[in-house]
Amino acid sequence: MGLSILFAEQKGERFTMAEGAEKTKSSKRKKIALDPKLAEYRGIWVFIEQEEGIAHPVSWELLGRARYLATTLEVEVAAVVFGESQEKVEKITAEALSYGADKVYQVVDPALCDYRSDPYTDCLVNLVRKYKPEILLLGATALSRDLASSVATLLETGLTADCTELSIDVESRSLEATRPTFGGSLLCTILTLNYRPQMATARPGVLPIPTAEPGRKGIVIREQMQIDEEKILTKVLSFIPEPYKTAEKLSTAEVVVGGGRGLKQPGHFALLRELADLLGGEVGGTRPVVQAGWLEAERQIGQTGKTIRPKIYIAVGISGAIQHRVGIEKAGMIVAINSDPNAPIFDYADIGIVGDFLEIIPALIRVLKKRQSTKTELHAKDKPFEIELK
Amino acid sequence: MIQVEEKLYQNRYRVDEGRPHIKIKDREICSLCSHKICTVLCPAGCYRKGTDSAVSLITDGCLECGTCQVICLEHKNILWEYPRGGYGILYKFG
Repeated sequence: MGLSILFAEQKGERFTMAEGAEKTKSSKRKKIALDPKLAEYRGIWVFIEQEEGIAHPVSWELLGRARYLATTLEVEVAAVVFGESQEKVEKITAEALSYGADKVYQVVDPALCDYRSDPYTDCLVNLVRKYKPEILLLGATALSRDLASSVATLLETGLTADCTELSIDVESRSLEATRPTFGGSLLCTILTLNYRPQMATARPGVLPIPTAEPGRKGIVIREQMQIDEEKILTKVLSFIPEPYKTAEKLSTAEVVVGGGRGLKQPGHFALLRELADLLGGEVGGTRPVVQAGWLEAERQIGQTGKTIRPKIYIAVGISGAIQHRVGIEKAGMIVAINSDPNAPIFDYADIGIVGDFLEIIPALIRVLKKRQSTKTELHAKDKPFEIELK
Repeated sequence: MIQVEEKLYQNRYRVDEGRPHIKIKDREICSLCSHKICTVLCPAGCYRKGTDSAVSLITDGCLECGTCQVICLEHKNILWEYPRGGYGILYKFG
């Protein structure tokens, strides 16, 4: 509802704002005058996601971004905090203020203890109707995505899910929400031109967390909501923590060490495991090694396996066929270790090492262990990363 | 040189995870096979020569042409089935 797809371009060929985009915009954009009764909507809100009194970091990422957007729009940034006790809410409120919120809307009610769609949706919708924010941002987590969709439906406004970039079109004061689509092969920028608030959920980890200023002050608005526990259909019986299964952490790990057929023996995965543990990461692999039974199927990375987006991906003995590439190309940095200088992985790796992994990986492990044991703060710029081969 | 994987990527597949439709009956026989003609003739490169004279088979890219079954004359060592309905290669504008 109320959405218009503005421009969608092939990834990697996005126009710079200065040149092509302006042209695309003016030629394709429809001029829609905002409904006058929606024009009074002002301010940027961030829903602070919390579970058991601990806020999700994506909330702070969003506050940082909201701060920037608010400067462009010349409005205030407000945080919305729900919780079951004043004490827990106050703690998160103080954090929200330190991360850049000017205002905090609090709703405290025992019914808001665990997340449930009904009471959270009602409270947020009521707040929005009362205070009329221009933009409402949430994290693209399981919790907030559920909340955002039901809130947007009730408010009859537009929602862009899982955004990776948020900016403002100065001319129309509209939020430009950019998100990957078709499995990341396209980036589309979506605007909600004629409905308010403009809603978006942002993918955790893509926006930087701002520096906190402890003790920063702001306005706190406490709202009392009439929540009738009897009318809430969902009841939380118990909370079962997810069983600890590291393979599932593969998609969210910051460092992934991947192994391919070049490892030659299943036993060599122990080396990768050791390296991954030192870096606080996870181990993955290609289709052939999974098929050969060297690795569990849940650790397969690629077209028919998992798509990962770690900060660092270390590809060991992986030729880099396109079926594997599609699963890793969103990694921040790709380090390839392969004995074949003609392996296709070197076409898209950021760092390529031609050599025998049996020499390189143990050397890397030695260096990392040495750093850990000396516990001195060594930064790459202070001291070059030295690897001594045997 | 374009790798066969690059071309296979243009195809549409629905891979039947964990249920390969082609199996090698006896891996020992492949080690003894001198020419390993399957590794040469498979148009999708499903059969690869391993380092230790073994043959590895990954059926994900299989085009279901049936060549491998026919050419393994000497040993008849390939158990060849079509994938289940809805799986395997899904030719678009074939």
